[in-house]
Amino acid sequence: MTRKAAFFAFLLNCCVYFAHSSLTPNTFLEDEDRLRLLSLFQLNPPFAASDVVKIHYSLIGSLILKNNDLNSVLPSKDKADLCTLCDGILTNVEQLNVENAYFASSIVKLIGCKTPNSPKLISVLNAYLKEGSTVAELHRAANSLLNIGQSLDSPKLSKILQTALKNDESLLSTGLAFQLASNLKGAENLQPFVEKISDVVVQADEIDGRLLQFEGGLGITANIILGIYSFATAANKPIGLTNDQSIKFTNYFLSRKTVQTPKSAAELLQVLKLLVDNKYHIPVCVSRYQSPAISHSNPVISVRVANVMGKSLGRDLKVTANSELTGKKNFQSVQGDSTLFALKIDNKARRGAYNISIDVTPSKADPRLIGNTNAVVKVIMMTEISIENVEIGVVDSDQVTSSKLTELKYPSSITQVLEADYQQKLILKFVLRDKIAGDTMTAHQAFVLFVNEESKQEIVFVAEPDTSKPEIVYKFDLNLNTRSKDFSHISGRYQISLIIGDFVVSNPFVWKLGSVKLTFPASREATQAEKAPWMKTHYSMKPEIKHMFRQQEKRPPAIVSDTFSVLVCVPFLILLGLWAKLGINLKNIPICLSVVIFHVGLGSIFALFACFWLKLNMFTTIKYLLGLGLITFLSGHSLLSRLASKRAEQK
Amino acid sequence: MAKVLKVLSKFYDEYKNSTAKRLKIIDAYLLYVLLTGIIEFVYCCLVGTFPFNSFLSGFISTVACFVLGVCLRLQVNPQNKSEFGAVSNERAFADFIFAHIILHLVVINFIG
Repeated sequence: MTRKAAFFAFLLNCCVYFAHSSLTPNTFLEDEDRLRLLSLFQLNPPFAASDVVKIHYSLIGSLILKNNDLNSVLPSKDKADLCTLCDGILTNVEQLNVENAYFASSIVKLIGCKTPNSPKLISVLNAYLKEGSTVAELHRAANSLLNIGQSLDSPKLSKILQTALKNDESLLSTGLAFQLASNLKGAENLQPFVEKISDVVVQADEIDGRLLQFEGGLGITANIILGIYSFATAANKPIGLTNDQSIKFTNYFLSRKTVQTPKSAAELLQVLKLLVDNKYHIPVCVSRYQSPAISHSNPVISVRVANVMGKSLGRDLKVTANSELTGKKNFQSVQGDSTLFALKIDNKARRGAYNISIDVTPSKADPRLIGNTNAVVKVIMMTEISIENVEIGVVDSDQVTSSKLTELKYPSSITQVLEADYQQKLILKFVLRDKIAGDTMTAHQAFVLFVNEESKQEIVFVAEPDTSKPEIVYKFDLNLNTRSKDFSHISGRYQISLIIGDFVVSNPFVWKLGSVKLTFPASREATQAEKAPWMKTHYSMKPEIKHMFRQQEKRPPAIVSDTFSVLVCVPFLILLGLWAKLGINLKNIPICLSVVIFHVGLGSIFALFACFWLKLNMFTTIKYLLGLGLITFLSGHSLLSRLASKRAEQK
Repeated sequence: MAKVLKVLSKFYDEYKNSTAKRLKIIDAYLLYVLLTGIIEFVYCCLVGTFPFNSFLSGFISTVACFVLGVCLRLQVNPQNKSEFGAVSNERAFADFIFAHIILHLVVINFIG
């Protein structure tokens, strides 16, 4: 952990060191950047009037990338098409606005079409050059006039421009004003704008002490820088930028070389082209060529020294390195590439990262070259390592002596399978030796990997070095009892591998040491599958739910029930016997219909009750009962009243 | 013991001679119902109350029949003429029949 932190601190230091010590651009427009930008500038006919802005910027950009070779940018047919298109825009004076006029006339000039200079067009454009126009309108109209070969009225335009700039002092307007003013003639017409340069430059924002930009991004920054340089050139005044400021702006532009729109790309290329050659500043870019790794078998540091466009600076250069690694030495220029310089290191340098400070001096002094001193390039001195004194073995946990360790030589592996149980420890010791320097060293990555031979589960441990003694020994000590959880308590055969790697090591390796059979105590803790039952992939039928009927009540034996059923009938026989003995008098029954109906009705009521018991429900029973009851009631009533009246007669 | 037998025989003779015939018929009916109820109760004590609703309806029907029988006997007894003078024997019998119909409707409903 501490080592990791130290490593990050080291990296951070490197960055900070870079940021503050070396302003020199460490990148430039490389070949892949050129190709990408060219693809942005691809023009596809047919061309429409609405495309003039894109066409304008694409032409500017691709002409810069192709060294003003118009024929390689545009086929002659497209050229004719574009000329017709722009001529159409410029002759249609009624619908002409100043923006379209600027872009169309610019295309006309870039391609070299026949210049449309009708008096009507000139008067329309001149009409914009008046008090009350904005800076942008003045810039567009004046440049359109220049594009079609007209001259400007410098004293008048200077006055108008000053007024317009007073009304709108935004960064964009200022940049455009500088660009326009650079076209004016006569020192007295330029003088009022000179002092504005320093006013603008102080408004730039600094980022990380390394970049300078204007608020608003690439377009505005490019406009202002272009304006300042062209104006200072035209006015023949010292530019208001220090060398450091210029380098910081350069760094900003180079950091934006990944732009995505034709407009931004064209503006970026215009600025970069300016920074390749002007009267004031030519930034020098120093970058490392290819990999930072150097080794004793390939002890060559290669750097590229170029201008911002990635081209040769075009003069004899002396490139000097100054560092702990190299001492003070000169780079040799590489045959066939004027930007490439190489330095061979002949001393036996130790492994590690080195910062190399590089100075570039031209054979003929040129004050325009900036950023040419103390450019920092980082290289890494690689080394090879060997692994020695490797011992592996299993010892008892409570035993301190390491008696049973087996020695191993890289890259062979142990033949027999080691066996270890939870009362034992697995011990691995080794020493990493720098083959070149001959000393023992630590590696940033030293891991011991266990792979379960069945499940292929991987468990990784960090091997810790003992750095207290001058001889650095790695000792990996795996106590199976305490580490059981890391293995999910899964016993079985494991492959042991040792992984060694480091950024200064050119021969990192993974070494299969052999197999070990580990036995862990039976786990009380749930295994992974038990912890997460939803991870099980197989599904099984759930146990069938059986319906439980209500348990039958205990019944008496059949003979008891039958006996009692008979017994219940006995009192009825007794009743009949008693009635017979008493001599029931049935002679009194009158012979009439109601007697029959009454007894039949009464009998049917009890029969109905029997039916109710067996199958009917209450409601149907009540329904039938009402009918039967009514009949029985009426017949019973007539029978009984007849009996009553008969008895009364007898009395 | 002989006295008790003497008392019982005298009581029996008295009952045999002085009780109206129709009351004896009702008494026979009451005896029948009483014996049936006793047998049901003995069964319940010996075997258990399951099925409880059947036992209950059977036993209660015997008790209710006994009560209704007693009521009929009271109303038709000539000695109670002073109390039930307004109720003729036929009326009492009609009530007895009606009450039985209602009783057995309920009993059958409850017997399950």
